[in-house]
Amino acid sequence: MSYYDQPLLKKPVWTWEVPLYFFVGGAAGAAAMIGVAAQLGGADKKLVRDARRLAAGGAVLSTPLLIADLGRPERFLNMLRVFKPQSPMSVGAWTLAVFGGASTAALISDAAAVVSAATGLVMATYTGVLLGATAIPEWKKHAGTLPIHFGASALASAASLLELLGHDDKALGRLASAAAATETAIGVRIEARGGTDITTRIGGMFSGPLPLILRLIGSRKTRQAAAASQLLGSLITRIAWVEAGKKSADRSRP
Amino acid sequence: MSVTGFFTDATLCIGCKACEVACKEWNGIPDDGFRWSGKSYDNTLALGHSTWRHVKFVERETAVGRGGNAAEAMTWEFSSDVCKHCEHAGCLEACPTGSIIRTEFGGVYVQPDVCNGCGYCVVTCPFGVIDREPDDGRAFKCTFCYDRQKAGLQPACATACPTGSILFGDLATLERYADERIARLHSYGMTDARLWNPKETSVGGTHAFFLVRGDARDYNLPEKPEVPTVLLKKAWSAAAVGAAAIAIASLLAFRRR
Repeated sequence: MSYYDQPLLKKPVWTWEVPLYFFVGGAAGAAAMIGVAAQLGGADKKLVRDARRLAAGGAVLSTPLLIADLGRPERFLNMLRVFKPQSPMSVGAWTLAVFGGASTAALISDAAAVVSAATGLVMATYTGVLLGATAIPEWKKHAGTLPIHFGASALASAASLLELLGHDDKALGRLASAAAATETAIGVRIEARGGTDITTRIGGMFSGPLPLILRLIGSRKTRQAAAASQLLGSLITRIAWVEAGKKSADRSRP
Repeated sequence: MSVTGFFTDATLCIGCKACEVACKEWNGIPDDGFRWSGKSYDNTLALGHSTWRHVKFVERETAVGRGGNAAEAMTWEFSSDVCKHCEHAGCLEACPTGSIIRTEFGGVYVQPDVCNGCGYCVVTCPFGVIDREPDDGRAFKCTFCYDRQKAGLQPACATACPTGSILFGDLATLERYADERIARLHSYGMTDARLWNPKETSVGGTHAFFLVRGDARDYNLPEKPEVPTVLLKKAWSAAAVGAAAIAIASLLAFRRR
C-alpha cells in the first residue's frame, strides 16, 4: 500500500538551534509575565528586576538561534517583509521582534514591561502551534495539546530559573508546582492518546511527576532539586518533540 | 490569463524519464546523488529539492484486468510525479517571507530571491514535495515552468513527453478531457483506472492531477491529504488557553494578601 515503503513526507530540516530557541524563548516569555505579576503583587524588587533581565536576556539569545537555523541567515529580515496571520512562523517572527524590543525597554520602563508580558505569553505558547499546524503526523495529532504543553513547560522553566537564581519565593514555588501538575496531566493525556517515544517520556518525567513529588515534600533542598529537574525537563521536552517529528515523517506512508 | 494544469496519465507513461531530463536541463537543477536504489528503474525514489519531476516504477502483483493473462508474475506501471500545485497549498500559507506565491497561472511558485530557508514549507507540504537544498540553503520545488508559461511556452516536461502522458493546458479543459479518458478506458475494460485529484479534501483539489490504476497509495499518493491550516483554529485556541492560564496563575500566585 505504499511505494517501495518510501516515506510520504519530508523530514523537518530543523537542527538543534530550533528546540533550544523554543526553550529559551519560552522561558523568557514566561519570565516577562512573572515580572509583571510580581510587581503588581508587591513582591521583592530584586525578583522583579531578575525576571525582567531573564526576559530580555532570553530575547537577546533567541534571535541568533533563529537566524542560525535559516538556510540563508543573511536574509533573516525577509521574515518582516510581510505579516501572515495564517503562518505561525510569521506570527512568531513578529512576536519575537516586538518581544525583543519590549523586554529590553522593560529594563527601564514599566509600560514596556506590560507589552513584554503580553507578547511573552505568545512566545511561551506559539511554538506549540508552530509544530501542531503542520503535516507531520506526530505533531498534528497533538495540535490541541502542544501549545498548552509548551506553555506549561515555559512557565516551569522561568519559575525554576528564578528559584535557582536564589529567589526562594513562595509564589514561584506555587507557579512551578502548578506547572508540574499541568505537565503530569498532559503526560497522562498524551499517553492515553497512544503515547510518543522514549525521549518525550523522559522529558515528561522530569517536567511532571518527579518535580511534583519533590515540591510536595517541600524542603528548600527538594525545591531546588525540583527546579533543576523542571529546567532540564523543559529543555528535553522541546528537543524530544522536534526529534519525534523527524521520526514521524520517516514513518509516514500515504 | 487562464488557470493551467498538468494531467499526468500513468496508462500512457513508458518510464523514459524524458520529463526528468528536460526539467533538469531547462531549470538547471543539480544532480540528485547518483545513488543506485535497487528499486526497479527508480534511483531517486521521491520528489525533492533536486528532483522536480519523478518517474515512479510501480511493481505489483497481477490482478484481474491488469496483466492477468501475461506470463510475468508482476505488473509494471509508470507515472511521472510532480508538485501538485494545490488549490489550498500548505507551503504557500506557511511561508513567513511571502517567498511562495500563487502565479497568474494558478501555480505555486517559490521566489528564489526572497526565500531565506526557514524550512517551514517542508513540514507543511502534505505531499512531501518541497525540500531545502542543504548546500544552497533555500527551498526548491517545481516552478510549473513559470518562466516558460510567461513566454507562452509549455513546461519543459510536457514538451518533452513523447507519449502524451504529461498533458499541459487550461485546467478546466484538462479536467473535462480526463473524465472522457477515464470513461474510454473503462469502456475498454480497464475498470481499475481512476483519477486522483483530492477535491473533496481540505486541499481543495490540485492543479497537477493524475490518472492511475488501482490503489493510488501504490503511487505514494495519499487518499485524504490535509492542508495544515485546518489545524490553526484548534492549535491557536489551545495557545490562548495556555497563555491565559499562565497569566492568571502568575497574577494569583503573586496577589497581595
